[in-house]
Amino acid sequence: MIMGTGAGGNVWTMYQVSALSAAGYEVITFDNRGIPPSDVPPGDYSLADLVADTAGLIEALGIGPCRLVGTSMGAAIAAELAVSRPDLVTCCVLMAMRARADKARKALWAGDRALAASRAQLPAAYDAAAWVFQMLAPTSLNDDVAVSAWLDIFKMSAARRASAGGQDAIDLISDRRETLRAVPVPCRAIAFSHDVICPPHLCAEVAEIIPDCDFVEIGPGGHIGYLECPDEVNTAIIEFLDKHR
Amino acid sequence: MVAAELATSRPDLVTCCVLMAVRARADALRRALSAGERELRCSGARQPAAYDALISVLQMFSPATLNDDAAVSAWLDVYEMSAERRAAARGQDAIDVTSDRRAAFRAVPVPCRVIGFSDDLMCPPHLCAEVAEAIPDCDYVEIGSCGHVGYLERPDEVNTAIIEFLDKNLAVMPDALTRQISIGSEAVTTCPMYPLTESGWPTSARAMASLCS
Repeated sequence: MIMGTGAGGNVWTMYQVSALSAAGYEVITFDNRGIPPSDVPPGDYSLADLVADTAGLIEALGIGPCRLVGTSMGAAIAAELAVSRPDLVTCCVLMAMRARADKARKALWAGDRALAASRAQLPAAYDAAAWVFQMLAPTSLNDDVAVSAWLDIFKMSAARRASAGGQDAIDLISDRRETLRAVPVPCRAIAFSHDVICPPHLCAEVAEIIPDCDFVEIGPGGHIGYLECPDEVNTAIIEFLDKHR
Repeated sequence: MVAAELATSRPDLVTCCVLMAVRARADALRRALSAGERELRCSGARQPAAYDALISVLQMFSPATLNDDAAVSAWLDVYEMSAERRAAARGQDAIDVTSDRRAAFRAVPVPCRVIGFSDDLMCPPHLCAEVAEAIPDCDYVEIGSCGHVGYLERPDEVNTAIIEFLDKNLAVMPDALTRQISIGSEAVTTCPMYPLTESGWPTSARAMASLCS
Protein backbone atom coordinates (compact mmCIF):
# COMPACT_ATOMS: atom_id res chain seq x y z
CA MET A 1 0.00 0.00 0.00
CA ILE A 2 1.49 3.32 -1.07
CA MET A 3 0.71 6.49 0.87
CA GLY A 4 0.31 10.04 -0.45
CA THR A 5 2.42 13.14 0.10
CA GLY A 6 3.58 14.00 3.59
CA ALA A 7 2.01 11.05 5.39
CA GLY A 8 3.39 7.81 6.75
CA GLY A 9 2.50 4.27 5.75
CA ASN A 10 1.04 3.82 9.22
CA VAL A 11 -2.00 5.84 8.13
CA TRP A 12 -3.16 2.65 6.38
CA THR A 13 -3.25 0.88 9.74
CA MET A 14 -6.15 3.04 10.92
CA TYR A 15 -8.74 1.21 8.82
CA GLN A 16 -7.35 -0.60 5.78
CA VAL A 17 -4.73 -3.05 7.07
CA SER A 18 -7.04 -4.97 9.39
CA ALA A 19 -9.83 -5.21 6.79
CA LEU A 20 -7.52 -6.41 4.03
CA SER A 21 -5.80 -8.87 6.38
CA ALA A 22 -9.18 -10.25 7.43
CA ALA A 23 -9.97 -10.73 3.74
CA GLY A 24 -6.90 -12.96 3.47
CA TYR A 25 -4.27 -10.62 2.10
CA GLU A 26 -0.76 -10.07 3.40
CA VAL A 27 -0.59 -6.30 3.69
CA ILE A 28 2.68 -4.38 3.38
CA THR A 29 2.85 -0.69 4.22
CA PHE A 30 5.96 1.46 4.17
CA ASP A 31 7.18 5.02 4.51
CA ASN A 32 8.09 6.78 1.29
CA ARG A 33 11.42 8.57 1.18
CA GLY A 34 11.10 11.75 3.22
CA ILE A 35 9.11 10.05 5.99
CA PRO A 36 11.26 8.70 8.85
CA PRO A 37 12.32 6.06 9.68
CA SER A 38 12.83 5.78 5.92
CA ASP A 39 15.68 7.92 4.63
CA VAL A 40 15.19 11.65 4.30
CA PRO A 41 17.77 12.64 1.71
CA PRO A 42 18.24 16.39 1.27
CA GLY A 43 16.93 18.20 -1.79
CA ASP A 44 13.91 17.78 -4.00
CA TYR A 45 12.53 14.35 -4.91
CA SER A 46 10.92 13.29 -8.17
CA LEU A 47 8.09 10.85 -8.77
CA ALA A 48 10.64 8.65 -10.57
CA ASP A 49 12.68 8.48 -7.34
CA LEU A 50 9.71 7.17 -5.40
CA VAL A 51 8.74 4.76 -8.19
CA ALA A 52 12.28 3.35 -8.10
CA ASP A 53 12.14 3.12 -4.29
CA THR A 54 8.91 1.12 -4.49
CA ALA A 55 10.31 -1.19 -7.18
CA GLY A 56 13.39 -1.71 -5.00
CA LEU A 57 11.23 -2.63 -2.01
CA ILE A 58 9.15 -5.14 -4.00
CA GLU A 59 12.33 -6.74 -5.35
CA ALA A 60 14.04 -6.78 -1.97
CA LEU A 61 11.03 -8.50 -0.44
CA GLY A 62 10.79 -10.87 -3.41
CA ILE A 63 7.03 -10.44 -3.65
CA GLY A 64 6.64 -9.33 -7.28
CA PRO A 65 4.37 -9.33 -9.10
CA CYS A 66 2.05 -7.99 -6.42
CA ARG A 67 -1.13 -5.98 -6.08
CA LEU A 68 -0.69 -2.26 -5.44
CA VAL A 69 -3.06 0.02 -3.59
CA GLY A 70 -2.13 3.70 -3.60
CA THR A 71 -3.73 7.01 -2.80
CA SER A 72 -3.03 10.42 -4.33
CA MET A 73 0.74 10.56 -4.96
CA GLY A 74 0.86 6.88 -3.95
CA ALA A 75 -1.61 6.07 -6.74
CA ALA A 76 0.57 7.94 -9.22
CA ILE A 77 3.54 5.85 -8.04
CA ALA A 78 1.54 2.63 -8.52
CA ALA A 79 0.43 3.53 -12.05
CA GLU A 80 3.92 4.59 -13.13
CA LEU A 81 5.41 1.43 -11.68
CA ALA A 82 2.89 -0.70 -13.58
CA VAL A 83 4.06 0.97 -16.80
CA SER A 84 7.80 0.86 -16.17
CA ARG A 85 7.99 -2.49 -14.37
CA PRO A 86 4.95 -4.59 -15.37
CA ASP A 87 6.84 -7.65 -14.09
CA LEU A 88 6.33 -6.34 -10.54
CA VAL A 89 2.62 -5.46 -10.67
CA THR A 90 -0.49 -7.63 -10.86
CA CYS A 91 -3.14 -4.93 -10.61
CA CYS A 92 -3.66 -1.50 -9.02
CA VAL A 93 -6.24 0.29 -6.92
CA LEU A 94 -5.79 4.01 -7.59
CA MET A 95 -7.51 6.28 -5.09
CA ALA A 96 -7.90 10.06 -5.30
CA MET A 97 -5.75 10.34 -8.40
CA ARG A 98 -5.70 12.77 -11.31
CA ALA A 99 -4.23 12.36 -14.80
CA ARG A 100 -3.78 16.12 -15.14
CA ALA A 101 -4.38 19.32 -13.20
CA ASP A 102 -7.01 21.91 -14.03
CA LYS A 103 -6.68 25.59 -13.10
CA ALA A 104 -7.77 25.17 -9.48
CA ARG A 105 -5.41 22.24 -8.89
CA LYS A 106 -2.50 24.05 -10.58
CA ALA A 107 -3.18 27.06 -8.37
CA LEU A 108 -3.27 24.81 -5.33
CA TRP A 109 0.08 23.31 -6.19
CA ALA A 110 1.62 26.69 -7.02
CA GLY A 111 0.26 28.18 -3.80
CA ASP A 112 1.75 25.38 -1.71
CA ARG A 113 5.08 25.76 -3.51
CA ALA A 114 5.03 29.53 -2.97
CA LEU A 115 4.34 28.99 0.71
CA ALA A 116 7.19 26.48 1.03
CA ALA A 117 9.58 28.79 -0.86
CA SER A 118 8.66 31.78 1.29
CA ARG A 119 9.63 29.83 4.42
CA ALA A 120 6.77 31.61 6.17
CA GLN A 121 5.91 29.77 9.38
CA LEU A 122 2.15 29.64 9.64
CA PRO A 123 0.82 29.22 13.17
CA ALA A 124 -0.10 25.58 13.87
CA ALA A 125 -3.77 26.42 14.51
CA TYR A 126 -4.15 28.20 11.18
CA ASP A 127 -2.23 25.53 9.30
CA ALA A 128 -4.41 22.77 10.76
CA ALA A 129 -7.62 24.63 9.84
CA ALA A 130 -6.36 25.18 6.27
CA TRP A 131 -5.58 21.45 6.03
CA VAL A 132 -8.92 20.13 7.21
CA PHE A 133 -10.73 22.25 4.63
CA GLN A 134 -8.60 20.69 1.89
CA MET A 135 -8.73 17.12 3.17
CA LEU A 136 -12.22 16.45 4.56
CA ALA A 137 -15.76 16.34 3.23
CA PRO A 138 -18.37 18.76 4.66
CA THR A 139 -19.94 15.86 6.57
CA SER A 140 -16.73 15.50 8.58
CA LEU A 141 -16.21 19.27 8.81
CA ASN A 142 -19.68 19.72 10.29
CA ASP A 143 -19.16 17.00 12.91
CA ASP A 144 -17.72 18.72 16.00
CA VAL A 145 -16.21 15.57 17.48
CA ALA A 146 -14.68 14.36 14.23
CA VAL A 147 -13.31 17.73 13.17
CA SER A 148 -11.76 18.40 16.59
CA ALA A 149 -9.87 15.12 16.37
CA TRP A 150 -8.77 15.94 12.84
CA LEU A 151 -7.58 19.41 13.80
CA ASP A 152 -5.45 17.80 16.54
CA ILE A 153 -4.06 15.22 14.13
CA PHE A 154 -3.08 17.87 11.60
CA LYS A 155 -1.51 20.00 14.33
CA MET A 156 0.50 17.04 15.61
CA SER A 157 1.60 15.90 12.17
CA ALA A 158 2.84 19.34 11.09
CA ALA A 159 6.44 18.45 11.89
CA ARG A 160 6.23 15.26 9.87
CA ARG A 161 4.81 17.11 6.87
CA ALA A 162 7.52 19.75 7.14
CA SER A 163 10.28 17.12 7.27
CA ALA A 164 8.93 15.49 4.09
CA GLY A 165 9.85 18.71 2.26
CA GLY A 166 11.57 16.86 -0.58
CA GLN A 167 8.20 15.27 -1.45
CA ASP A 168 6.59 18.68 -1.96
CA ALA A 169 8.64 19.17 -5.11
CA ILE A 170 7.20 16.06 -6.75
CA ASP A 171 5.39 17.10 -9.89
CA LEU A 172 1.76 16.04 -9.59
CA ILE A 173 0.33 18.57 -12.01
CA SER A 174 1.84 17.56 -15.35
CA ASP A 175 -0.37 15.88 -17.90
CA ARG A 176 0.15 12.11 -17.47
CA ARG A 177 -2.54 10.94 -19.82
CA GLU A 178 -0.04 9.47 -22.30
CA THR A 179 1.61 7.40 -19.56
CA LEU A 180 -1.70 6.19 -18.19
CA ARG A 181 -2.76 4.94 -21.63
CA ALA A 182 0.16 2.52 -21.35
CA VAL A 183 -0.82 1.00 -17.98
CA PRO A 184 -0.82 -2.72 -18.86
CA VAL A 185 -2.59 -4.17 -15.80
CA PRO A 186 -6.20 -4.12 -14.58
CA CYS A 187 -6.96 -1.12 -12.36
CA ARG A 188 -9.77 0.31 -10.29
CA ALA A 189 -9.94 4.08 -9.78
CA ILE A 190 -11.70 5.17 -6.58
CA ALA A 191 -12.86 8.78 -6.29
CA PHE A 192 -14.17 10.56 -3.22
CA SER A 193 -17.27 12.64 -3.76
CA HIS A 194 -16.07 15.84 -2.05
CA ASP A 195 -12.36 15.65 -2.84
CA VAL A 196 -11.08 19.15 -3.68
CA ILE A 197 -7.54 17.96 -4.41
CA CYS A 198 -8.60 15.26 -6.89
CA PRO A 199 -12.23 15.99 -7.73
CA PRO A 200 -14.30 13.02 -8.95
CA HIS A 201 -14.49 14.17 -12.58
CA LEU A 202 -10.70 14.26 -12.83
CA CYS A 203 -10.43 10.87 -11.12
CA ALA A 204 -12.98 9.43 -13.59
CA GLU A 205 -10.71 10.61 -16.39
CA VAL A 206 -8.00 8.27 -15.06
CA ALA A 207 -10.41 5.34 -15.35
CA GLU A 208 -11.31 6.34 -18.90
CA ILE A 209 -7.71 6.56 -20.03
CA ILE A 210 -6.28 3.36 -18.54
CA PRO A 211 -7.24 0.59 -20.98
CA ASP A 212 -8.54 -1.87 -18.34
CA CYS A 213 -9.88 0.23 -15.48
CA ASP A 214 -13.22 0.61 -13.74
CA PHE A 215 -14.40 3.48 -11.59
CA VAL A 216 -16.02 3.67 -8.18
CA GLU A 217 -17.10 6.89 -6.48
CA ILE A 218 -17.51 6.85 -2.72
CA GLY A 219 -19.09 9.51 -0.54
CA PRO A 220 -19.34 11.57 1.41
CA GLY A 221 -15.57 11.74 1.52
CA GLY A 222 -12.81 14.25 0.90
CA HIS A 223 -9.22 13.67 -0.19
CA ILE A 224 -8.73 11.24 2.68
CA GLY A 225 -12.00 9.44 2.03
CA TYR A 226 -10.37 6.10 2.93
CA LEU A 227 -10.41 7.39 6.53
CA GLU A 228 -13.84 9.03 6.34
CA CYS A 229 -15.70 6.14 4.66
CA PRO A 230 -13.42 3.19 5.46
CA ASP A 231 -16.04 0.46 5.15
CA GLU A 232 -17.11 1.43 1.64
CA VAL A 233 -13.51 1.93 0.55
CA ASN A 234 -12.35 -1.39 2.00
CA THR A 235 -15.23 -3.19 0.28
CA ALA A 236 -14.32 -1.58 -3.05
CA ILE A 237 -10.64 -2.52 -2.64
CA ILE A 238 -11.28 -6.11 -1.57
CA GLU A 239 -13.90 -6.72 -4.25
CA PHE A 240 -11.41 -5.64 -6.92
CA LEU A 241 -8.44 -7.53 -5.45
CA ASP A 242 -10.54 -10.69 -5.16
CA LYS A 243 -11.19 -10.51 -8.91
CA HIS A 244 -7.44 -10.61 -9.49
CA ARG A 245 -6.32 -13.27 -7.03
CA MET B 1 -25.40 39.88 11.30
CA VAL B 2 -25.35 43.67 11.07
CA ALA B 3 -28.84 43.68 9.57
CA ALA B 4 -30.27 41.38 12.22
CA GLU B 5 -28.67 43.27 15.11
CA LEU B 6 -29.94 46.55 13.67
CA ALA B 7 -33.46 45.15 13.37
CA THR B 8 -33.35 44.31 17.07
CA SER B 9 -31.73 47.49 18.35
CA ARG B 10 -33.44 49.96 16.00
CA PRO B 11 -36.67 48.39 14.73
CA ASP B 12 -37.77 51.89 13.67
CA LEU B 13 -35.16 51.72 10.92
CA VAL B 14 -35.90 48.27 9.54
CA THR B 15 -38.85 46.87 7.61
CA CYS B 16 -37.56 43.39 6.90
CA CYS B 17 -34.25 41.60 6.34
CA VAL B 18 -32.76 39.14 3.90
CA LEU B 19 -29.91 37.40 5.73
CA MET B 20 -27.50 35.46 3.52
CA ALA B 21 -24.80 33.09 4.70
CA VAL B 22 -25.33 33.89 8.37
CA ARG B 23 -24.71 31.78 11.48
CA ALA B 24 -26.19 32.12 14.97
CA ARG B 25 -23.18 30.38 16.50
CA ALA B 26 -19.89 28.77 15.53
CA ASP B 27 -19.25 25.03 15.68
CA ALA B 28 -15.85 23.46 16.41
CA LEU B 29 -14.43 24.00 12.94
CA ARG B 30 -15.61 27.56 12.50
CA ARG B 31 -14.21 28.43 15.98
CA ALA B 32 -10.92 26.77 15.08
CA LEU B 33 -10.74 28.70 11.83
CA SER B 34 -11.37 32.03 13.57
CA ALA B 35 -8.78 31.20 16.22
CA GLY B 36 -6.28 30.13 13.57
CA GLU B 37 -6.81 33.29 11.56
CA ARG B 38 -6.39 35.39 14.69
CA GLU B 39 -3.15 33.61 15.50
CA LEU B 40 -1.97 34.16 11.95
CA ARG B 41 -2.61 37.90 12.22
CA CYS B 42 -0.86 38.13 15.59
CA SER B 43 2.10 36.05 14.42
CA GLY B 44 2.98 38.57 11.75
CA ALA B 45 3.69 35.67 9.36
CA ARG B 46 3.05 36.75 5.81
CA GLN B 47 1.65 34.21 3.42
CA PRO B 48 2.60 34.54 -0.24
CA ALA B 49 -0.21 36.18 -2.25
CA ALA B 50 -0.69 33.05 -4.36
CA TYR B 51 -1.23 30.90 -1.28
CA ASP B 52 -3.56 33.41 0.32
CA ALA B 53 -5.64 33.66 -2.86
CA LEU B 54 -5.98 29.94 -3.26
CA ILE B 55 -7.01 29.38 0.36
CA SER B 56 -9.64 32.11 -0.04
CA VAL B 57 -10.94 30.62 -3.25
CA LEU B 58 -11.08 27.11 -1.76
CA GLN B 59 -12.99 28.42 1.24
CA MET B 60 -15.34 30.76 -0.61
CA PHE B 61 -16.49 28.84 -3.68
CA SER B 62 -18.39 25.66 -4.43
CA PRO B 63 -16.86 22.71 -6.25
CA ALA B 64 -18.99 23.72 -9.25
CA THR B 65 -16.95 26.94 -9.54
CA LEU B 66 -13.63 25.34 -8.58
CA ASN B 67 -14.06 22.81 -11.39
CA ASP B 68 -14.66 25.55 -13.96
CA ASP B 69 -11.25 26.64 -15.30
CA ALA B 70 -12.38 30.01 -16.66
CA ALA B 71 -14.26 30.96 -13.49
CA VAL B 72 -11.54 29.84 -11.12
CA SER B 73 -8.83 31.75 -13.01
CA ALA B 74 -10.85 34.93 -12.87
CA TRP B 75 -11.56 34.52 -9.17
CA LEU B 76 -7.93 33.79 -8.30
CA ASP B 77 -7.01 37.04 -10.01
CA VAL B 78 -9.72 38.91 -8.16
CA TYR B 79 -8.51 37.58 -4.81
CA GLU B 80 -4.87 38.28 -5.55
CA MET B 81 -5.71 41.80 -6.64
CA SER B 82 -7.97 42.48 -3.69
CA ALA B 83 -5.42 41.36 -1.10
CA GLU B 84 -4.61 44.98 -0.35
CA ARG B 85 -8.22 45.91 0.20
CA ARG B 86 -8.69 42.95 2.53
CA ALA B 87 -5.56 43.93 4.41
CA ALA B 88 -6.88 47.48 4.81
CA ALA B 89 -10.07 46.08 6.33
CA ARG B 90 -8.10 44.31 9.08
CA GLY B 91 -10.02 46.17 11.77
CA GLN B 92 -13.03 44.11 10.67
CA ASP B 93 -11.13 40.92 11.47
CA ALA B 94 -11.49 41.68 15.17
CA ILE B 95 -15.29 41.50 14.93
CA ASP B 96 -16.55 38.59 16.98
CA VAL B 97 -18.34 36.19 14.64
CA THR B 98 -18.13 33.10 16.83
CA SER B 99 -20.25 33.99 19.89
CA ASP B 100 -23.60 32.34 20.38
CA ARG B 101 -26.19 34.86 19.15
CA ARG B 102 -29.22 32.63 19.23
CA ALA B 103 -30.85 34.67 21.99
CA ALA B 104 -30.31 37.87 20.00
CA PHE B 105 -31.84 36.32 16.90
CA ARG B 106 -34.93 35.30 18.90
CA ALA B 107 -35.57 39.00 19.49
CA VAL B 108 -35.51 40.08 15.84
CA PRO B 109 -38.90 41.84 15.48
CA VAL B 110 -39.23 42.01 11.67
CA PRO B 111 -39.94 39.43 8.97
CA CYS B 112 -36.76 37.84 7.66
CA ARG B 113 -35.65 35.44 5.00
CA VAL B 114 -32.45 33.46 5.54
CA ILE B 115 -30.69 32.29 2.38
CA GLY B 116 -28.22 29.44 2.77
CA PHE B 117 -25.75 28.28 0.13
CA SER B 118 -25.46 24.51 -0.26
CA ASP B 119 -21.66 24.28 -0.36
CA ASP B 120 -20.86 27.13 2.02
CA LEU B 121 -17.89 26.13 4.21
CA MET B 122 -17.95 29.31 6.32
CA CYS B 123 -21.68 29.23 7.11
CA PRO B 124 -22.81 25.70 6.29
CA PRO B 125 -26.50 25.33 5.45
CA HIS B 126 -27.45 23.58 8.70
CA LEU B 127 -26.11 26.51 10.75
CA CYS B 128 -27.87 28.95 8.44
CA ALA B 129 -31.14 27.09 8.88
CA GLU B 130 -30.70 27.44 12.65
CA VAL B 131 -30.88 31.23 12.26
CA ALA B 132 -34.17 30.88 10.42
CA GLU B 133 -35.48 28.70 13.27
CA ALA B 134 -34.38 31.20 15.93
CA ILE B 135 -35.96 34.30 14.36
CA PRO B 136 -39.70 34.33 15.15
CA ASP B 137 -40.90 35.34 11.66
CA CYS B 138 -38.39 33.91 9.21
CA ASP B 139 -38.36 31.52 6.30
CA TYR B 140 -35.40 29.67 4.83
CA VAL B 141 -34.27 29.25 1.23
CA GLU B 142 -31.30 27.13 0.22
CA ILE B 143 -29.60 27.76 -3.11
CA GLY B 144 -27.68 24.86 -4.64
CA SER B 145 -24.19 24.50 -6.14
CA CYS B 146 -22.70 27.56 -4.54
CA GLY B 147 -20.40 28.48 -1.67
CA HIS B 148 -20.00 31.41 0.73
CA VAL B 149 -20.23 33.92 -2.10
CA GLY B 150 -23.30 32.23 -3.59
CA TYR B 151 -24.74 35.62 -4.58
CA LEU B 152 -21.89 35.84 -7.10
CA GLU B 153 -21.96 32.19 -8.15
CA ARG B 154 -25.76 31.88 -8.56
CA PRO B 155 -26.91 35.50 -8.94
CA ASP B 156 -30.18 34.77 -10.74
CA GLU B 157 -31.46 32.32 -8.15
CA VAL B 158 -30.34 34.55 -5.29
CA ASN B 159 -31.87 37.68 -6.83
CA THR B 160 -35.16 35.85 -7.37
CA ALA B 161 -35.20 34.75 -3.72
CA ILE B 162 -34.44 38.27 -2.53
CA ILE B 163 -36.98 40.00 -4.75
CA GLU B 164 -39.71 37.50 -4.02
CA PHE B 165 -39.27 38.11 -0.30
CA LEU B 166 -39.05 41.88 -0.62
CA ASP B 167 -42.16 41.93 -2.78
CA LYS B 168 -44.07 39.97 -0.11
CA ASN B 169 -43.11 42.55 2.44
CA LEU B 170 -44.49 45.40 0.44
CA ALA B 171 -47.55 44.61 2.50
CA VAL B 172 -45.83 45.91 5.62
CA MET B 173 -44.77 49.14 3.98
CA PRO B 174 -47.75 51.37 4.77
CA ASP B 175 -46.12 52.47 8.03
CA ALA B 176 -43.11 53.62 6.18
CA LEU B 177 -45.29 55.20 3.58
CA THR B 178 -47.38 57.02 6.13
CA ARG B 179 -44.23 58.30 7.69
CA GLN B 180 -43.06 59.50 4.30
CA ILE B 181 -46.35 61.28 3.82
CA SER B 182 -46.07 62.89 7.19
CA ILE B 183 -42.67 64.28 6.31
CA GLY B 184 -44.10 66.08 3.39
CA SER B 185 -44.70 64.09 0.26
CA GLU B 186 -47.82 65.33 -1.44
CA ALA B 187 -47.53 63.05 -4.42
CA VAL B 188 -48.47 59.84 -2.69
CA THR B 189 -51.82 59.40 -1.17
CA THR B 190 -52.93 55.84 -0.69
CA CYS B 191 -51.50 52.92 -2.53
CA PRO B 192 -48.37 51.50 -0.92
CA MET B 193 -47.67 49.36 -3.98
CA TYR B 194 -46.58 52.30 -6.06
CA PRO B 195 -43.34 54.15 -6.04
CA LEU B 196 -42.57 57.12 -3.95
CA THR B 197 -39.92 58.12 -6.41
CA GLU B 198 -39.84 58.18 -10.15
CA SER B 199 -37.17 55.51 -10.23
CA GLY B 200 -39.39 53.01 -8.40
CA TRP B 201 -40.09 51.75 -4.94
CA PRO B 202 -36.80 51.75 -3.06
CA THR B 203 -36.22 48.16 -2.06
CA SER B 204 -32.68 48.16 -0.79
CA ALA B 205 -32.10 48.34 2.94
CA ARG B 206 -30.21 51.55 2.43
CA ALA B 207 -33.00 53.20 0.52
CA MET B 208 -35.50 52.05 3.14
CA ALA B 209 -33.38 53.51 5.88
CA SER B 210 -33.08 56.87 4.19
CA LEU B 211 -36.78 56.82 3.41
CA CYS B 212 -37.77 56.31 7.02
CA SER B 213 -35.28 58.58 8.70
